[in-house]
Amino acid sequence: MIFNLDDMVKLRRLGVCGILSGTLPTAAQQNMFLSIPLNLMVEETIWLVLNGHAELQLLQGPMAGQVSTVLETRGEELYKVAREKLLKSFDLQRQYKKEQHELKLQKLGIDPTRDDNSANSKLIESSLFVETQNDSLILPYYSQEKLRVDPTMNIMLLNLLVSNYSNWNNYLLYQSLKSQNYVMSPGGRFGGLFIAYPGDPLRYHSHLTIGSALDYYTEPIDFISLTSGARLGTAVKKLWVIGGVKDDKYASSEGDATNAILEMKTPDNLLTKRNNTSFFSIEWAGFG
Amino acid sequence: MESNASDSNDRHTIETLVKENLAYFQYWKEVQLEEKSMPWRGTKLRLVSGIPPNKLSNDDPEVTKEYILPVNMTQYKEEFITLECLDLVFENLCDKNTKRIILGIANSDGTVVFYFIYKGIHKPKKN
Repeated sequence: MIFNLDDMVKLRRLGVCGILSGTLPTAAQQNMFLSIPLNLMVEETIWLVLNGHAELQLLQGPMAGQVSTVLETRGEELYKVAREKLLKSFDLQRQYKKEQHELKLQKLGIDPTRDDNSANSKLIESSLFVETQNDSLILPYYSQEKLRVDPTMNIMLLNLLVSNYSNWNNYLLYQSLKSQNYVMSPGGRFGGLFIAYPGDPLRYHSHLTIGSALDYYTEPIDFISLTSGARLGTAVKKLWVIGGVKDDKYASSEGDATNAILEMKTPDNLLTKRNNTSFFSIEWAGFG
Repeated sequence: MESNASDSNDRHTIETLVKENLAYFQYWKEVQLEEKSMPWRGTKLRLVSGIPPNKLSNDDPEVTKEYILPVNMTQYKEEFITLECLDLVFENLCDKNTKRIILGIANSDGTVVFYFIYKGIHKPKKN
């Protein structure tokens, strides 16, 4: 999850859009009105790591526990800091509003000092707002004391991420499409794994719905899912795309599978494997 | 179901069904079974070719000969067409510059549905 607006802008420039997920608990919003934080897909995260735009980090222990300890030990101190910050922001707002008000009066030719200010200041008090921070004040304190992550550990972490939330073939499809300048977002709405835009999602309609990676050699193409994907695609002007990774033979022939995978999935190998994907775009022929 | 007779191995039945559907139901011309064949999982795959009565896609410059790969829907069985198979069909049964073939999927009730398959990533057709 991304909490910092500047980081979001950077990611967007890289064609990594994620999904905004922030909303108010009491007034849940639909996708058009969502805000920070930005949720990234696993594939996007891995792409960022492999291309050197992000690094994986291990945090010590469950964060919730850590935070509660901090609150116990340093709670009062943190409260004071936050309180001071808030008061300061109120002061600045008051000052600003007063200045604006005086300018307005001057424009109208009224002497600002003549007026009784008590009613006004009451109004100002009620119009002050409290800013909700996008990112935590406490968390950066933790990422300071990070554990060193060496290259093998990095691969382990990547593998952990992938085995829990996706698979390497899906990632390779993502990477291949990304290298063709497509921007992906989650494709659940159209029955696929991703949908792909030919550029920024705000400027283009998406062209493609991409199904989950198939095993290139052994997995039969399911015609039911093919027809449903392609028919829906025709209705929403998208092509249904199926794809797979060619040199997959390790994975299906167990045995040293884990070793082979560890060997294969080094960052360099993964980056050079982008040409080994095979895609087919499917569309209803318009008759029959 | 009766149509179990037209098993996935029974290429001839599916090929004939697709061919006749094109000729008599979709009014295609010059529908024929292509000579070239490709061995695949114990059977021989052959394409059906023909000329459609009108342009199939607004992006096509003109009406051209189309190639159809007949397959069985086999809702409850595993079909044997894999990604590798499609690549091989494009490689062995088509010209070098073929961009698409048509998948003719035969259902158990005798109807056939047709889907374009483009090699690689393709742009959606203009409507």
